[in-house]
Amino acid sequence: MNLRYASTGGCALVLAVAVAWLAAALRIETDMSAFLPRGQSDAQRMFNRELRDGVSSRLMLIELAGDQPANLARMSRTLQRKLAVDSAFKYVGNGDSALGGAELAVIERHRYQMSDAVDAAHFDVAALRAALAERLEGLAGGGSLLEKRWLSSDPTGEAWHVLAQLAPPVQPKHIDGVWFNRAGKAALLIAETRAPGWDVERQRQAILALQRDFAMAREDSNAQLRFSSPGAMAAESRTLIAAEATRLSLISVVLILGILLWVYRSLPLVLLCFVPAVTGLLAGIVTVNAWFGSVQGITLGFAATLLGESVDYPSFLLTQRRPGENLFATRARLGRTLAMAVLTTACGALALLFADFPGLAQLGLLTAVGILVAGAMTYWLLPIWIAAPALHSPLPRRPLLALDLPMGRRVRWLAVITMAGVVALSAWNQSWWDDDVANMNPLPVELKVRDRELRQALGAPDVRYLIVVGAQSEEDVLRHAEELRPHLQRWVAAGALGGFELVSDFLPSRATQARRQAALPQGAELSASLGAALAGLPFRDGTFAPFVLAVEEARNAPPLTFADLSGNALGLKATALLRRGDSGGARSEGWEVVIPLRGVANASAMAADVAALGAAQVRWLDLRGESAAMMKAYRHEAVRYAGLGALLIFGVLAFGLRSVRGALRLMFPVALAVLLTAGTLVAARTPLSVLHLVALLLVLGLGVNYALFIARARVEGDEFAQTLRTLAVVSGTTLCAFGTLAFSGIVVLHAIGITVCAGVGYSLLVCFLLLSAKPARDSAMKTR
Amino acid sequence: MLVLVAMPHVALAFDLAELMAMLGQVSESSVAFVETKYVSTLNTPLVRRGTMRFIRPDQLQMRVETPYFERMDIAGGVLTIENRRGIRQIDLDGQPSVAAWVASIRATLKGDAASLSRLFNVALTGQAARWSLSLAPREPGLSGVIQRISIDGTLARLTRIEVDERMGDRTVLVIVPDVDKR
Repeated sequence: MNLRYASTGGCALVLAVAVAWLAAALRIETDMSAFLPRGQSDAQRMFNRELRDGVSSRLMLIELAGDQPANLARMSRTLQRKLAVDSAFKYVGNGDSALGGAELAVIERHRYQMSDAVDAAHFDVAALRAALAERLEGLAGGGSLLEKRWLSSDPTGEAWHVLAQLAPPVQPKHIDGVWFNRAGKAALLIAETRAPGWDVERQRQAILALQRDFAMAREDSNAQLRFSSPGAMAAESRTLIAAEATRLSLISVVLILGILLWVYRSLPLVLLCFVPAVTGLLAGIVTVNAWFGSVQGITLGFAATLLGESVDYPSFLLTQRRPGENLFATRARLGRTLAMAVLTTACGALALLFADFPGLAQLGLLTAVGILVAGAMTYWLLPIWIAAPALHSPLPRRPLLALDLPMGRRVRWLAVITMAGVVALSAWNQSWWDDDVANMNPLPVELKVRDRELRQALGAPDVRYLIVVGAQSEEDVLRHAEELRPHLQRWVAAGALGGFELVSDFLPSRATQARRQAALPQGAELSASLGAALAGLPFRDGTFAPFVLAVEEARNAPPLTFADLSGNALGLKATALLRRGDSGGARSEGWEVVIPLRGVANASAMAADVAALGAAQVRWLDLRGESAAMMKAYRHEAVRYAGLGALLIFGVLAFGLRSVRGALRLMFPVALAVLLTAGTLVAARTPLSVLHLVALLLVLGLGVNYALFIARARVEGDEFAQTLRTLAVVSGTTLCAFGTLAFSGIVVLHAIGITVCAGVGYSLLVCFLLLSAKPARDSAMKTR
Repeated sequence: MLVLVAMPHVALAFDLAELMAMLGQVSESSVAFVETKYVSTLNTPLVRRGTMRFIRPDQLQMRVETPYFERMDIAGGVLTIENRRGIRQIDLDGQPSVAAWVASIRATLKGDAASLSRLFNVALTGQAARWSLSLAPREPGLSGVIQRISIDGTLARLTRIEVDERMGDRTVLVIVPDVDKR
């Protein structure tokens, strides 16, 4: 009795301390890239960073639909005005006066620093005269309204020249001056949030601001707002995953409670079954939080799966108890099998700890710790508690399943071989592996589809090919980018390349700016050249005084910097194309220029051309190829760790059974069940991803548990019916926990749920067929 | 026409609807023009000659022969300008001032009263035999560039288009009769 109170008190104390510590120290992270690999190469890390921090992660694509175009256009303008003054947004564009806004002002002010046409010869008499003749022709022509704006101050057309280089290749359709989609049914806007994409809380605030501003802009119209952004997606995935995890956990707890209540017919007993599981879960969360410094929201979502596994351990003991038997005696009979069951599952989970996905490593730790704690409590504390008279009512000895397989060994093997043959045949021609990183994204499919639609409508397609230039300083990297321009132009001229975006076209290096400024003539000199050039042309005297003034001003202007561009579309572009590279490890911080390429005719030829430049700082990057390579490498790694997990499980079995042959005999049906599960998934056109591999590792652990108990019953002979009941209970609870996951719309949860459910089915089936044969005439199957 | 001739007093009440109905009869027209631009920054006006062609519903083509070749094609919402420097396409929705100029001519040729009234404050004077449309842009952004567009005509034929810009520049396009007979 004293022991009971002491253990209960001690347990309560430990739980209280754990809860108190968690209340103070628990940090839940909701970064959606937690289930993406960290990446092995620079290119892969850069790809991940782009996903997480890049300007594209701050971009919000907005669509207004459901009203007449004219009304939508008016709403688009109102919304644009409101968002422009909203502190959550840095930039918002709706196509309204795409040429003529803040961008033009910046280009106009800095045209002599930006234009690559500027050199000493650009302002001599002949060049000026040619430029003036061209202006005259332009004034006469149909585009005269556009020409006049810059005639007096910019007769050499520098602003036009810069603009022509920047003009986007695909412009969305305009209606009433604002962007519309191709069908002309929806107005489009693009906005950049101030908060980075991973800052889920501030992204959520930006979304609220957008919705509030839209509600005001809409007035009494029925128009609808749709938007998409990585940040918004992270925010939505956070709410989704949190809601999903809570919902699924609740459902599975209710289902598991139902099963256990039906079996044990005693609420206190059932609640006691949950104590080890809940304690294990808490211990797991505490460990993960202490080890990683925070817990991923998605990891917590798997709490249900852990619960579904560890709630089995008390059942292994309780369902095997004979009438009138003290639980200590039951433990004495089953202790070794239970210990092996716990240790094998923990070992399987431990292998995940090496995973390159932070989320998966956490899941491995959470599961391993949770399982060990729950197993230990079941082993040492449960018998003490359940020895209490009130809880000592033995289970009714009803046969739960009257499952007897009156089959001979040959028939059983034939059944297994047939099953394996059918699965192998139907999986034969399907593709086995899925290396598309997009499929790891925890977002529901419809959100991804919406993002793709809006991207296409705005002519902002996902970029696949990039050239990345690296250097120590901003100045150096811009110089390298400038050096690359002739090559890029050459490739465009040769038809190998459709086009490119180069940040130095509108943000030249300081050296280049200084060189251009030095090439600008002094006032007196320019006036003289201009006078000579004007001879015989009908321009009125003094027309170009603003030009002379502008050149003089430009000669002494401070250099154009990144900061001068902020707050307009050019700034947005610059942030996307030029940034500080955080190349981890020993290398110091550097800068990167990203050059997105359009219309690459032949990727491998282009890659070879880039390599042939022989510049170490210039790298070719195929984002989709990189991500696939990354996933493939990671999958190989996962297979290795799954193998390691299997080996650990085998070691535990061989040690526990004191027999390598016995361990092999147990592992064979389980391994077969894992293969059948994989084959069935593939046959059902679900190529395997890393997530499935992880789930298969879980299946291995669970299957070994089933095999242990089935083999034990076979060895002990008389306990077969009891073991059937045990397995019905434990597999029932597991199916409940993972079955709920299988219904999740979140890819990660769904994949694991469906795999484990199929795996549990196959494990039970194969283990029953191969391990439960009557021992009578089969001396070779003796394991001890 | 018969009505107009028969009842001259009705001509005093010649209104926009009648003008538009009359212009709406023309499915295609081809004329020669002389365009004179008075630009404040130039000592002398710029004079260009060429032909202009309208094809219902929305195609307008201008071809300048002297002093420099230039072709302007307006179809739907796109203005294509071809000259010695190359071909340039301008999305009219992105260039309200150019769009207004195009719309004034095109809507008039088409007889599209609704479009005209949406973009401009329209005033019609004169009679069917000699009418004058005065178009003042409604949109404030536009009226900052274009002050007024005046279109004169005789029956279903345009004779003169004058664009007065806010900064004082002026373009007068005189349509030369009898081009079809050349």
